[in-house]
Amino acid sequence: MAKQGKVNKLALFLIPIGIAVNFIGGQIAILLKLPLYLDSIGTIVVAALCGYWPGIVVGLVSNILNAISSPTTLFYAPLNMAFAIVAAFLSQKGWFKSIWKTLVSSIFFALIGGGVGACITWIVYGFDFGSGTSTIFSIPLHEVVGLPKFLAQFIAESGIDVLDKVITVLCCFSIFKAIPTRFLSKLPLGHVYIKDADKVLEEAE
Amino acid sequence: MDMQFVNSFKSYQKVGNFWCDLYPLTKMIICFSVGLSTIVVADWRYGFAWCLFYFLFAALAGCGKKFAKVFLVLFVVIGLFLTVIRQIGARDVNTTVMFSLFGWKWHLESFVIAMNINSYMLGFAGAVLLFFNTTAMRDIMYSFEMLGVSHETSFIMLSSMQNIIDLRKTSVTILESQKSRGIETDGNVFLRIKAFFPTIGPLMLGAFSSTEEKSIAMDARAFSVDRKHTYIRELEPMTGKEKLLSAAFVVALVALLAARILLSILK
Repeated sequence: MAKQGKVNKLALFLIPIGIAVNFIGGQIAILLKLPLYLDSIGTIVVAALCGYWPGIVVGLVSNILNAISSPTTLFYAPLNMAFAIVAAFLSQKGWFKSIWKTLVSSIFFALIGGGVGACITWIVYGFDFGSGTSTIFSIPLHEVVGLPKFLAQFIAESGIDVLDKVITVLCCFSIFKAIPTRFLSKLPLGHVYIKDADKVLEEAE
Repeated sequence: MDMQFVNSFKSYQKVGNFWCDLYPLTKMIICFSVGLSTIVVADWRYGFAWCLFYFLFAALAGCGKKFAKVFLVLFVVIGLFLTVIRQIGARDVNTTVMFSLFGWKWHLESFVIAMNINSYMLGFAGAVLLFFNTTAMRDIMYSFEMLGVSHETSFIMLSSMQNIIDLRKTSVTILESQKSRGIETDGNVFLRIKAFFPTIGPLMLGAFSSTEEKSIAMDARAFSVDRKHTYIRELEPMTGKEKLLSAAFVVALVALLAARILLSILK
């Protein structure tokens, strides 16, 4: 393991990259005409590799910078910060080392993104439907199926988020697999992704 | 010419415009107080009146066109869309018909509800837009550093903006390269999702590999040295008048909030 100071500095330099990747992920999705957001890859990767605080900073600053062109994204900043907390926690528990656990983790992210997101939309838009793409599904769920408004909004946002977060966590998983061990060893949570790192550390001690 | 450029850094940085030359924190307090007040009041007359002021201030600050372009997009995306949605969603309060559009009756009650929500969504969004359009990020971070925020925070904010520009260019290059080697970016949604992975992967790994060099380069310029930093550009500190102005806006916001709470209790 590298010295503590060096680790912190690398984490500091990864934060702007995580923020930029959040933006670019969304833009590539638009370029490829995908009906997905894909704007939290940077948050999850940085939180999983560097821990809670760097991830939370990536989430918060991404939304602040997004507010320059779309100020209403400020209301949704807690979502990105919550993604960071969940990602750092699951990373510590080694969830992102297995493809199946990674796929299951998308449910947690979808529940935060869709479920908590629906609650924020509900409050911000005066306890009624929001004006996002989810209304394309939430209004028919209310009008045709007869679900209560909030439940319709909740199901619509969560449904859209499930596919989005499955792609997001798969992307993160492939990135963790491709990062060189030499680089991982310098990151606060990098040892989680190094094969037999615990054995080596025990031997060194 | 060269000496003029050098001398420009010897005095406080000013552009000769009343609004733009206000200290960034003053502008931030004013804009956020006004933006939050539109949420507190939640009345279309109040919110839209402020929206007109935003246009006026943006025009006076010389960025009227830029501001109008972004604000009008928000007006369409949030405002018009929400107005239509409320005509469908808020039918239970409707009694007064305004007009009929191809047999679809538009009601006054749900229209007013939509206008009130639009007024605070656009009122808040407009205030934030005005602030960011008339204040450079480096000036915002300078004023935060003067408050004691670390230079690492400034680095994160400013470097992120540069990284977005750099990585955007790189992502286009990667996407074009992947296309040239036969990856399909058109077709059904699964084909397009498959094209996403070989684009974002190299982009992130390439950006990661540059961090070590960046770290060394920054250290060569004493980035980690724990001493008082100097600034090539300096802004005039918040004057007494600006402090008074900021305090007035905060007091007005608190008064509005108290009045709103009191009214809802009395109701």
